[in-house]
Amino acid sequence: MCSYPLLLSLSLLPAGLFAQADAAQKTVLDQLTGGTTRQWSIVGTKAAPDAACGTTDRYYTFQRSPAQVVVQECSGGKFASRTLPLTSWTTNGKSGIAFGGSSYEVKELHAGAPVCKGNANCIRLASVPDGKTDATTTIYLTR
Amino acid sequence: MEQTTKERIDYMSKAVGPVLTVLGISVGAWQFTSQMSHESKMEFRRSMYNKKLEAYEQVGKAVGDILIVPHDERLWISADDTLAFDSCLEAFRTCYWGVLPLVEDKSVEAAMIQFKDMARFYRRGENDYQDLAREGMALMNACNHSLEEHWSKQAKDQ
Repeated sequence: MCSYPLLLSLSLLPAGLFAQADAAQKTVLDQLTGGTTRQWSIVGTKAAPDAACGTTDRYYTFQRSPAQVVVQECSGGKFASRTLPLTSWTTNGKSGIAFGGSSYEVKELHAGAPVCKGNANCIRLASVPDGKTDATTTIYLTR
Repeated sequence: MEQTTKERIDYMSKAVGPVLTVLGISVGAWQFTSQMSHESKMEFRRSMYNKKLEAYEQVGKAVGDILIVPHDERLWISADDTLAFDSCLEAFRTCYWGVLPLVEDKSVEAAMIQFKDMARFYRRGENDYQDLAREGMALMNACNHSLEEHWSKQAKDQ
């Protein structure tokens, strides 16, 4: 008789864990897409998306459905865009996003972090080692 | 007729004796060689295990040195600690480039890269001490797992 609550809790445990993992993934994607679409730029980007640009200017537009990211890079003084599929991942208690052949961990940074240069909405995409190269890349985005 | 059979048996026993002796010596030599080869393989594995252990001890020391730099485990790095922190990070990087290639293990390598990155992020004030300590712990767990794997592989071969 007493074992019913125990059995019920045990049967709900996997569902709870799954929901937790799903929620973590949702948070990362929600953060980047704002629920639908959100445009971010590399910290320090000065040019508007349709204006003449400098070599370090870059925009990332994350879209939730279909999950994709539009990367606008500066080439020859003009922005050129490419669209990449966006996926999410969870391994060993860590989660993040993947696009363009790299997996990234996403972290929201506080505005006081020097790299954010005072921007309140500041995030960091840090690539996860892929086992092929020692180099990792870090992208600082703001909006 | 009887004489002939007896002679034949004598002849056969004289011929079989040396053949058996040669066979025995060959089997003994083969056993000895294979035992030696197994022993030398095990010796190599044991020495690799010891090298790994030594390397991971160095990694552990470098991680520990980095983690004890911030006084009282303060959440964010203070200006007073940056010089010592940089010096310890340098020692860790030396360990990464100097020791690890000898005992290559993919999971340890990935954990070292992540710890190195996290140390940089902590140094820049992007991540707090808890994140750094967590990555340090993950790295030591990876080392531990690598040693366990090496040991269990060795036991399986024996």
